[in-house]
Amino acid sequence: MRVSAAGLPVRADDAAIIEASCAEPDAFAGLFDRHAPLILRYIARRVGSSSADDLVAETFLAAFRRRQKYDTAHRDARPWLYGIATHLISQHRREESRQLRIRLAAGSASEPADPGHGDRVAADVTANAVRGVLTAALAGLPDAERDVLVLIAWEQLSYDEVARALGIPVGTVRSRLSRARSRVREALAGTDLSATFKEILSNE
Amino acid sequence: MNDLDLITGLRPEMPLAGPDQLAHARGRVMAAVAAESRAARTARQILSSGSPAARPHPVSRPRRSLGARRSFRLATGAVVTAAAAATVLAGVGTFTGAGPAARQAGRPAGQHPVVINARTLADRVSTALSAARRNAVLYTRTSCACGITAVTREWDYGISTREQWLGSRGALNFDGSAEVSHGLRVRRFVDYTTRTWQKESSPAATYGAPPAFDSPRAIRALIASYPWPPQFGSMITTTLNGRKVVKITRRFVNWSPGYPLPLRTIGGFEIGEFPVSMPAATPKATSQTVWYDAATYLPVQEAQTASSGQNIVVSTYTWLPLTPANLAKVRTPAPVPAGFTQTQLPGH
Repeated sequence: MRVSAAGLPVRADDAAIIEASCAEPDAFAGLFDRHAPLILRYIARRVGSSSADDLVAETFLAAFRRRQKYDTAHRDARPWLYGIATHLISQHRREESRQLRIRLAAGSASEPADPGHGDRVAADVTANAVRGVLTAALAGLPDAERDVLVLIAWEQLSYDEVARALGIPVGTVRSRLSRARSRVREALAGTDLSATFKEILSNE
Repeated sequence: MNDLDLITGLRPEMPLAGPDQLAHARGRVMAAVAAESRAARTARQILSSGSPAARPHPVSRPRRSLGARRSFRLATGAVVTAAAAATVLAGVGTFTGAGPAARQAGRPAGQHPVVINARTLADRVSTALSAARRNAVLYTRTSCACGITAVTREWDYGISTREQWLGSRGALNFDGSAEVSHGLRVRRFVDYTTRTWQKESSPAATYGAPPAFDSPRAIRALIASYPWPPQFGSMITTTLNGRKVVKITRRFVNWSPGYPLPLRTIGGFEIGEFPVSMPAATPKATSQTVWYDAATYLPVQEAQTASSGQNIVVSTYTWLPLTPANLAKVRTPAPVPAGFTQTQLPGH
């Protein structure tokens, strides 16, 4: 660990860890411990928990193998790791689709929390219906658009970070996101939930 | 709330995993890390101790420092033709057939091939070469049926070089050196065939740091060709002179005759194509095979081979510990025998 001028330990940034790991591979453990929980959660959200464990290992193994090519100008390695994970997820599209179908089925089958209150029941039914349409829309997106949408909406990455993760220009991130959102809106507009959706949007 | 917020609302909420949940994945990753750590430590130990693994190998191949190569050519009047761009056909992946020395040695009884992932191999080679660049003098012996030169011997460290060319009967034809002194890189060329010598110097700073290696590029070229055909996905260890090695081969097209390889570097040392014009009848090299020590991951031999299987050029690499005696081999100027005449380098 580095020490500041005042003698206090300084937390090495990701680039420093990666750089150090080129000479001392053991240093790579620091990167795993720092980001594996985040990457595991991302993968689990997309393909389910059953495959997430293996995929997070594959993600960091790939990162370890490629670490000498890492651009240390980027001090935060999260986008790089998200990118590797996303690439691996792309090889598990079937599992991701299955995961979305499971969620879709679970949402439509879920019972209202408190069936004794009529308004609550109606609200829950509507919410579940909207979720179902959204989930189906998400599942129906082209893979490249879904990658962008999920990284932004679920993982809260910035446009720049998504561009780095996926190795595409920021303009492409914007256009893919725009197309993905349009498709989602179209999917909702094509249902009898459109009024509900408009109402939701009007409350922005 | 907008549509993006609604998508965000779909996000399955789950807590961040703790160490227990990540133990399995961490174990897998750390196993790979530990393997590479061991390889790096082994390479450093061998290089610092001069153990048997760092001793020379009885084979051969071509190289030369960029500056020295240029001047050697100028001094000898060798015709310089630009090497044609080499195209990596499908990367690497020749696993059959051992090298010229290995064919004789064979594989020890009971030793089974071990498959190594090419990407892992590339990383380990890079690590080993990084350590060697700082901690070793590279000695190269090359044999080639290249006109009057049959063998070259070369010692390299950084931008310092000592190089000797020998004829088929072992007589010294040329002796050259490039050493750094008082901020200058001084090159001296002694031509035993004409009994002349030349000297030239230039600021050492213009050479900058030694370039990165080329040797891993042979592997990276394979990796860049991903997705590989299945048989290219891994390397297989074999033996060379009884030593366990990893063999990797890449095939080329459009080699220009007489120049088997374009300029490249190994271990931070600039390596050029064989500097002497080859006889016109010399077949084109169509593949390059490099053998890496399976313990240190340093290259130990390289061969350029024609499609007929004939070896055009064969080199052995020996990584000498950084001792005063070994440094002296690379930092000693080529001596000028009495009676030799100093001449101007062409173009100077």
